Amino acid sequence: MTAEKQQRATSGAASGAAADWVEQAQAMTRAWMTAQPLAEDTAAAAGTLIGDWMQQWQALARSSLRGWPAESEDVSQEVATRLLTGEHAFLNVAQTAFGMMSAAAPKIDVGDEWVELLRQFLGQRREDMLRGQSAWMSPEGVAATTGDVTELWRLYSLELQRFFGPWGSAYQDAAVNFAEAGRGDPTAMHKTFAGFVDAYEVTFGRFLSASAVGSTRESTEPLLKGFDAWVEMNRAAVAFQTELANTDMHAVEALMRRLVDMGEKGEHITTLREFFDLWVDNHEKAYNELFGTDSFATIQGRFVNASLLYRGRQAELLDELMDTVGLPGRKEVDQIHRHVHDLRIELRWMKRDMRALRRELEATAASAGGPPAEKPSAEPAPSAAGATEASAEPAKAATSGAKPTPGAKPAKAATSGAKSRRKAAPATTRRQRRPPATDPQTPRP
Amino acid sequence: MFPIQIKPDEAMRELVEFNQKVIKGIDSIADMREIDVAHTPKEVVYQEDNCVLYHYEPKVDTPCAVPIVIVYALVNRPYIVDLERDRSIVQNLLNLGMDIYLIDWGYADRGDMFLTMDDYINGYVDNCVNAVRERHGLDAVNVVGICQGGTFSLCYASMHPKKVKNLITMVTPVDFSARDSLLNVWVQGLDVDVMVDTLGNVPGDFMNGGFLMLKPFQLMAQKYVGIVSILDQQQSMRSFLRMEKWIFDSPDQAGETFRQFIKDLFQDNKLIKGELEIGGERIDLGRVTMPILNIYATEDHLVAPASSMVLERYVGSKDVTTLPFPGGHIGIYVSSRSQKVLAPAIASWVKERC
Repeated sequence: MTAEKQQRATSGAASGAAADWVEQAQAMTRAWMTAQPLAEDTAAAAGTLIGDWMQQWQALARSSLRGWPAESEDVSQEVATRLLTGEHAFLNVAQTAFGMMSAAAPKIDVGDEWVELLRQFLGQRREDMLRGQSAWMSPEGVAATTGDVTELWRLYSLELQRFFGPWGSAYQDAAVNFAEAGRGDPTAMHKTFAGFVDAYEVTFGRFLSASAVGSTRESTEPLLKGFDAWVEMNRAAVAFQTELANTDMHAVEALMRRLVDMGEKGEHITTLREFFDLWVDNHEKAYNELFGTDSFATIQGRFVNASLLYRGRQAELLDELMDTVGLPGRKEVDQIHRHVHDLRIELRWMKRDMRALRRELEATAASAGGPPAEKPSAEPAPSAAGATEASAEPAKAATSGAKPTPGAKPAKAATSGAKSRRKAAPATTRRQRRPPATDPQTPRP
Repeated sequence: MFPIQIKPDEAMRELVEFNQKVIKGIDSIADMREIDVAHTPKEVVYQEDNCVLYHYEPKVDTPCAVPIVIVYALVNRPYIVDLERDRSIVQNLLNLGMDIYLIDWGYADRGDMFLTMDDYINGYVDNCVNAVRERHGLDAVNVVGICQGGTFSLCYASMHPKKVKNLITMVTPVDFSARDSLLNVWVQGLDVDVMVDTLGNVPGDFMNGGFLMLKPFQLMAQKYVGIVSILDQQQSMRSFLRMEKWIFDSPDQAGETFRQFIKDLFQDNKLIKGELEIGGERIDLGRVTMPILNIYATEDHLVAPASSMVLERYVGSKDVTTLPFPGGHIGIYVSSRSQKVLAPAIASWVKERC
């Protein structure tokens, strides 16, 4: 045992858990090896065994990561997680290989056409995928695609319940009310909005007294916008997932073609790793072809944009709630950041101006043979040519916005008597100060 | 003949062996404490907000009189140029007599969301260049711009040509219309205004997700299956972990800068059209008249070679050297070929012009 391992072994429960995990994992592998001869004869048995074992192994491995040594860097645990993900992919592909072999091998021995058998196997996989579409499509996605408003409102209310907690009941009622509204009940919409007002009253008594919000169109508009954004997000998600699923099917077809081609050329795959690499290369190529199209960029863009828009709507709702209890929301904090930023930039330019003026003062004093300025620059000035440019662009010459510079060399006196053309300017933004450089006749400030 | 000739018993043994390596490997990774990077000694010579200017300790008594200022991208961290002792462009350049400064942007926080390209280029970069000029009593310094930092450097050189003696651009996007890079295609569908208005700063994880999607099977599965064979080699695994640390060490992107960079450059390709404006000033690449060494990677999947190679057509410089590097966007910093070829090429090119 290395010194580091010894340290880890004594460094608490977390480390102990990791050490235990290694033993457990090895024990599991040993047990699997013992069972393995049973599966050696047939690929189908091997595939089943891998599936069962993979589930147990991955569960154990991932739970072990919770007991990761605290002293390790984050990157180590992250890499371990990715390693397990990679292994999971490898095992999945191995299962596919065994599936192909078990589908084709028995018939090959009796001289049947393997290409057709393999095609049937992959076709079955495609069918399974299509049938299981609802498995990879979220309930929200299914509802959004089918336009089931009642179901959409129910799911949306659950989403918001998670988001807002105590507000959930109002949103759940809203789902019912909207459904009734959809069936023609003219009072349903009113009941919905009243429900929200009740929720506001119960949780934030100040709500109704706040002039900015109330049981008005303004208070319900963010909710409706949020709903629209949520529905669009789910529709976009379905379109995106469908595109990827279709591409996966294309990839499987391409893999089939590649295998046929290899068969015709007499090329063989003899290890799982070779098959895995072929599978990756094949899929990467298929996806790359899709990814390079404008249509994919549009579908992906729609999904990303819709997700972000929905997130933005959530933030707007939250801002309203925060406002009712007098707490700053995202919008207000951003405004503060904006003010600080503007001040920071203004300060930068003021420091530069001060630095340029100080240099000018030093140069004037030097040319007049007078005493040097009281506070000489802490940093050396550029040489004559640099100072000339500095005079043309005084705002660019200084670095006085810097914090202390430990390695700074001794200052040199400015060698140019160049004067800044800059006049004292009111505190404005730099954009206002500097004219575009495209007009050579316009002197820079 | 059926091409899959995997014998079940051998496959099972292969799986067992693979799994044993994974178990031992994870155990060995857990033992690794600090994943150290950026070993070359350096000191802070200037600091402003989150931006820090470092000066590397020279390795020769009389280094090149005109120092190099490295302007890195806002995406990822700049220590990739000094990842580890045997894989360090900085170290190699120092050994060849260069004097090197590096701008580290730090991690943008919520307070940086309103920083613009103007703030970065005419603010931080200019202040850092001025700090170096003044430390050395020089009018101009050498600037090395990497990736997005190369685009920033081009803009800077256009606006402050007298402060840049020589310009070296590495894997720098110039023509954003090149379709060889998926990023160029994908950003066309993005509503950047919604993104920035919603997120403020664009999270580094979001950026990383996009980069992984460029080659999802290779980057999220094959790479980790591939390392199983080196999991028991401490030195190799440390190198691997350093690279992983860098790849996933992604600062958030200042919102307003991201907005302008994506809209004006990726979507509207304004740089080569002469329509890009920074701080109210139009960027005219014709004003980039200093000598340029433009290095691009022939296998670059992030910045397509076609996007970088065209630089010569748009700049005013009469002394442009275009250097293809056989490798990818990351390999150009850390591959063994890079260590042997790249730094000597840069050093000799600079020495000829200083």
